[in-house]
Amino acid sequence: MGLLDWIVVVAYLAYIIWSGVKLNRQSQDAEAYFLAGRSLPWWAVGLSVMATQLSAITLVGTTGQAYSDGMRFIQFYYGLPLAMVILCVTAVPFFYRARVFTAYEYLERRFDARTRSLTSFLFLVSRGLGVGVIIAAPSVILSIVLGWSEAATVFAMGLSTTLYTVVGGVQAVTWTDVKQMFVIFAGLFVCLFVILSKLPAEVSLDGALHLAGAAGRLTTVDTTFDLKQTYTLWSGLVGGLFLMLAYFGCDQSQVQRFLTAKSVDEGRTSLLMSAFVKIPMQFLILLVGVLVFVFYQFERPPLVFNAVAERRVAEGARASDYAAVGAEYTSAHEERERAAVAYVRARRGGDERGRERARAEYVLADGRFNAARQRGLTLVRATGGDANFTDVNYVFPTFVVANMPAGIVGLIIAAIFAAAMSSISAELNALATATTIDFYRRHYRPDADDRHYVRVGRAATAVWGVFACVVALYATSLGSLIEVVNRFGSFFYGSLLGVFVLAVGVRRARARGAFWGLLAGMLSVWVASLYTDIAFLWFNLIGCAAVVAVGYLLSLTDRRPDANGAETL
Amino acid sequence: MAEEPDRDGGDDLGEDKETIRERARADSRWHPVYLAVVVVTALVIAALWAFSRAYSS
Repeated sequence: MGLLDWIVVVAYLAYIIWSGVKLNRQSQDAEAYFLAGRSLPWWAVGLSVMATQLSAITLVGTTGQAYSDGMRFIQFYYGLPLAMVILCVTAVPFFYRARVFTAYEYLERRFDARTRSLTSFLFLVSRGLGVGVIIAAPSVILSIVLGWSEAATVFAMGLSTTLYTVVGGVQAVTWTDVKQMFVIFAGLFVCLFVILSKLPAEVSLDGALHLAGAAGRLTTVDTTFDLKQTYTLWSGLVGGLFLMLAYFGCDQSQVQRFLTAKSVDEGRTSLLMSAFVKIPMQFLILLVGVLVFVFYQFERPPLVFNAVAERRVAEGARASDYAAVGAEYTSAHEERERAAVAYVRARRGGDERGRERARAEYVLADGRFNAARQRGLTLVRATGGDANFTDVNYVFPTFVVANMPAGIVGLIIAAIFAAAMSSISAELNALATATTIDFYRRHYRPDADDRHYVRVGRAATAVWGVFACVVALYATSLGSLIEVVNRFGSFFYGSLLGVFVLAVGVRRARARGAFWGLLAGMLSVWVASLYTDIAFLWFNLIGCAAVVAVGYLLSLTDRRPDANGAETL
Repeated sequence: MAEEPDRDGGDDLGEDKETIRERARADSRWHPVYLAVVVVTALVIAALWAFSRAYSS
């Protein structure tokens, strides 16, 4: 990174921290600090919803995934619009009109304090560890690609975000999210145009897409019905629907977004904004990855994008094997480049048979190239002793640093920071809200004044921020911890959704059924993950169905009335 | 046995039946918007499928 890039990154950080901290004066009472006085416009809330969901690992990981596997990941989001419609009918009016601070507060009105505390506790544990991973993942990548210290990257991201979230509360979270979304979009569009400008003159956008399509990188709809496949139309529509319902309707980091809207209708509009924008936005991110793939048809890409892992194998006991694979890889790349140029030319001027022949040769050359790369990755796995090693997350940052002009590298690194910080700030704010409202105010000091809860909220944000940085420092050295946290999250989401389905949609549901149903749901997901190969998106459906079934059956045996009789459908 | 919770939740929020009916009427104005979201999503998925087919074959 050159001086200009550093100036861009430092200017971005300084501006975001300043613009968050200056909102301190508007965050002096509990409703202002945690819910912005329910005063925010729909477009700001809508952008904040999207910024919270889009973490750095989503931005970097999905571009890398598009490079290596194509666009099939987009199917993950096909259930999102329908989930938003369902939430607009149910969660938004129910939570907003109940005047709650947290989604879990509603569960006490509907069931009891035990169910509220358990769900809020699960959220705190899952998200407390999860926010550490959100900081750790991009820190590891940036440290390897840019040579930065992992600890410095963790603290630059974690503590700067904690600072403005502590001071400015949810106002700072939302308004910095808005600015961060503009930085992310600017980074993506600039990146797209620079890649297109760097393609050979004879390769147009149309030609680039035909190359990507021939190499199988443009699959956006896979109608195969296979529970073991992660990304298909059905897993996206059904599994994705349940995941999005759980994430946007039961996770405080998202529920808190629409609770800050001016009205129920503005809250609805903010979610529907995501329903319309999310799939096209994800298409744009994946398109960047696909164009990186096309760019590397004409430039030799690294055999392994993780430079540290590559150095380890290149300088280790199997260095000669790796050198041989490297030579094969270079030769395969040259062959593929020739085939790609021939295919582009055939498409422009050749007859139908010539085009078909050129396409078939290009597909074969791409297959040989991929096989050489897989041999390189297999060597890295064997040398490092990590059977699950993948370099997908390193593709995009490596490409940016090696190929983007001065200043643009800084802008894209700032966009990666923006994606990370927008998620971290919302998570910290939600963790502090649940800690303060669901535990401190509920169980310890129910009658303190407003300013006291703001002070507690600020302290809780700071503690969660420091905790997340500490988790991130450990997570950078323990790869398996990331997997554990993600797995725990998938156990929890579908089951939590089941409790809310019982609360909102099943009038006969009672507190005992909800509490034990939640535990049964988590247990059923755990069993499914241990004894089946079902892809994780389906866990949300399994967990939800188990909670509703067990919760309903137990409720039938319970003749006691509800404690408070909160609103149901 | 105590009564089950009010289906409309009016008791909990301290609102009368007329307010609740008015709110239901206001909520129903959103139904065409929800339908539009579903239709647009179907069209977007169809467009992506067509895009994929056009460039992959």
